[in-house]
Amino acid sequence: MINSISILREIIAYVFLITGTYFLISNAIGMIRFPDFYLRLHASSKCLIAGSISVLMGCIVLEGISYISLKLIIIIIFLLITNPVAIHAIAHFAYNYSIKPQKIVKNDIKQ
Amino acid sequence: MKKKLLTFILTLALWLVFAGHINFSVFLLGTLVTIICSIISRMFAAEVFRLLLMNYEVKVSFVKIYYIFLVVGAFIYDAFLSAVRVSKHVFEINPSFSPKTVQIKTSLQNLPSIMILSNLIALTPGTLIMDFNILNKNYFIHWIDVRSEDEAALKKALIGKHEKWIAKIFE
Repeated sequence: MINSISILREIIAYVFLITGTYFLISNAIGMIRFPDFYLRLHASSKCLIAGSISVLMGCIVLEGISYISLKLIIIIIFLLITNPVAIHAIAHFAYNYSIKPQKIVKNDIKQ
Repeated sequence: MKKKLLTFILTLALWLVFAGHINFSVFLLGTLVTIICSIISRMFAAEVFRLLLMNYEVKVSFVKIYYIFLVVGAFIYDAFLSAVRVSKHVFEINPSFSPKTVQIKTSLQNLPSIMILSNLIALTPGTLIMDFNILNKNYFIHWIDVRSEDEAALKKALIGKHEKWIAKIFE
């Protein structure tokens, strides 16, 4: 019984780790493939946060209820707060520095 | 002074949690770092304490906790959904984008709620905050993939839903 629970825990943890790795790889490839500064920011913000949360969740599941898991949960909360703020800061600077999106289809903003 | 002291104690407690053990050098280093942190955060502390010290009725507090859970859930769900969509674009052979920049007016009044909404928009599928005009409360948003006007209206409605939840918490 205990053995099957530990196997199940490892399976869940590895699913989280593989998902996180997939998102982090897609982040890296998106930074190269996307044509525009803002599109690259999309890749870096969304894939990075989902990938890092998945990897940390996998570590939490592997570790179980312990002191290290508490630290990992605090890191996840910090990531959820700081990542969007950092991405917004970069986008805000780029917008005020007049870096225009290269490939724009529609624009509602009056310039 | 009381606020700064409480911020200092909370940050020091967090430092000790991260350190994992307590000895003199860890405590000394932690004290130095947390003094710097509490000095930096003194501007934000006033606003946070104002929200914490508001006297709400018990029922209102429970409603607020319910909406806090909704917002955190939406945060994590949106992060994963948008990551899936962006990663799909990444691995396409010929990635096709139809980016669009729009401005959306918000009815939120105080700064923390505007900040949390902009964080939520940053993680909503395909949207990114470029700028915020504080005078007429307009968000400038860059959208990665908007095919039709119906889709744009749908996404605006999604942001409006998040805005309502945040208004229930802060205002």
